[in-house]
Amino acid sequence: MSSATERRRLSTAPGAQIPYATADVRLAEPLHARAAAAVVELTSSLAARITVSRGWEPGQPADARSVLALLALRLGEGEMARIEAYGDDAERAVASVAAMLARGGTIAAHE
Amino acid sequence: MTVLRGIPAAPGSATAVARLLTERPSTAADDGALTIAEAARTAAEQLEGLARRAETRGASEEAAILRAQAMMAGDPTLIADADFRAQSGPTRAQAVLEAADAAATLLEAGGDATFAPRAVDIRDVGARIARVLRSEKPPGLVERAVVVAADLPPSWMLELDRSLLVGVALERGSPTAHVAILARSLGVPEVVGIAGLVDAVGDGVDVSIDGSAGTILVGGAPAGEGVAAASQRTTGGVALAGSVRLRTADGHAVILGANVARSADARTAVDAGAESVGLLRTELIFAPSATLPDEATQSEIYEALFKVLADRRVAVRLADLGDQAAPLGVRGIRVVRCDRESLATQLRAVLRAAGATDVRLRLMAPMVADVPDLLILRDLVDAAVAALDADGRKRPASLDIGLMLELPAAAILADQLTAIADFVSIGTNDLTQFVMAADRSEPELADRQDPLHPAVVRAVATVADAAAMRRRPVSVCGEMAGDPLAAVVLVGLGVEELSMSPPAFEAVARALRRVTLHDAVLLAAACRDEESAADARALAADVVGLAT
Repeated sequence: MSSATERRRLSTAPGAQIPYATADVRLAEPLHARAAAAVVELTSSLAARITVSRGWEPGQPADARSVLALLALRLGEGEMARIEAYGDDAERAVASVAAMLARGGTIAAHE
Repeated sequence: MTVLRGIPAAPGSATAVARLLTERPSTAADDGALTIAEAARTAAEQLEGLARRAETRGASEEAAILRAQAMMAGDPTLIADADFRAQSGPTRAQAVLEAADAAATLLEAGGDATFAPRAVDIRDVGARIARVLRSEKPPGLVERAVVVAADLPPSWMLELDRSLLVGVALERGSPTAHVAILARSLGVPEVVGIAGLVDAVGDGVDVSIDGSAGTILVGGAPAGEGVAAASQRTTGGVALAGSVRLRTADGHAVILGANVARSADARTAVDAGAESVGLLRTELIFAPSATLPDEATQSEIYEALFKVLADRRVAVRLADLGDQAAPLGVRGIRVVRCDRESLATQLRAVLRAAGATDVRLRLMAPMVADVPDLLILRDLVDAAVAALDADGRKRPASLDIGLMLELPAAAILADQLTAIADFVSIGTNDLTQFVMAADRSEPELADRQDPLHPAVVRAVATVADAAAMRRRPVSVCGEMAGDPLAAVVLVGLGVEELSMSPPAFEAVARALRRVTLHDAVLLAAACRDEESAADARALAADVVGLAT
């Protein structure tokens, strides 16, 4: 069973000329410190302004370049996250962050 | 002279002056030379450096935390918030501390086991940036000392001069916290969860720490053994004598096993005198690759490792694949539900390597709950043996398929499982966590993580009794086996093999030499009837005669 049911829609924000993209993704693992750090590392190299918010209850979106803001979302495994990006590369940025969050499932020591 | 009791976190003992480390509110004002952003960048660089240091010590998980902390230090949200706060009055250092505290409070709010513990890391980052702003030095040591503190962030631990740091005593903390993992990797004795510690120990007072018994002796002369152990500890905690044997005072022999997680550990284990490998964890052997390599590559790595072990018994635990962030999810043997091939490949590689060497192979898998789970493992092994035969390769000289017991379900069903398992190996870390329903990474629950809790002792007793009925060998490979007092209890319950990391060998051997098998059996029976882990530990300390 695939844990990542990913719904993507690409569009242009109403009344804006700036490229905009968004995607909803189910998290394969909690957005903990290590995962958040990986997202920041990825988004820091992208031109678009990217935010992440809680999927079904979009509140204050978190800046995807801030580990602390991402952690403060307290997103757990299996929860939905909404990723939004404005600016050049928006579509690619959303796709790569969504792919990263939907992946998970790494090998680690467990006694 | 006072004796304070806590929870053993890292073995070894030492005597030195106490150095009280506290995050004192500083009276120094901002020196004004740096902006918050500049100080944050310096702090981030320091943390990156510490991450590299942790990495070279093999503490990769701690390195990841320090990397995340480096990223927090440079976090645009934190810096913006601190800048904003600084405009309205407080010093910049004070503003950073407040901003970090606000971010930390937000994480603690949910009480979630994944996020709440990170609050400590964020406050540590804030304190570090504040120190840079005030040009203060990080807390350090000027002479050999036992560090005494309420709690200690991993970053402090790594900054202390290793040649002067002889012990760590914490009022809070947990034996499974990152500081404890670092202490064990550095060979520094550590005791955690000592109630009233900071008030009882003054800076500069003489203290003796026994990280195996979990005791701190304040203001007294060191025990004779403490001195011997202290000088021995300077070898890095590993007694390289090669002559360590586990015997009770009346000569009852217990097999001394080593826990091995990397190829290099096998040599250390043999040199330190291990008679067997009671637990070969296979996840880290392939690090840093994130996935299991192919059969031939895996087989080569196992073969090199097995050669070092000659004809010793080695209990291989199949890789704990799956999502590690979800300890109750699809991992261990449960992975066959979605990915049978990874486990099958690993089994073929292990069998192939064992067939090419002299080791006596034991196989087990994590997360086995009941008889069907164990039968899945048997099927996988049968298929792998058939593949081995088809390739015309030699079968292992000896092959046992056993039960890795770490789930309460398996303990409850021990009578059924021991009917078909060739052996039982009890993983007390997960067993304790699951029986007590207490997350191992939750420092507030340190007393819930002590394997001498009567609920855990009874679970182990149930399993040992069921195994004895069926005449199946029982070993213990969790941290409980390397905890001297708990080891005596385990022997009293009928455990025949204790598998631990080599630095714990000497302390466990010493504790066993102090009791007869009869003492151990009586102690184990009494521990089953205690009402708390603390009571059981105090009783065990009296019987074994440590820390008196």
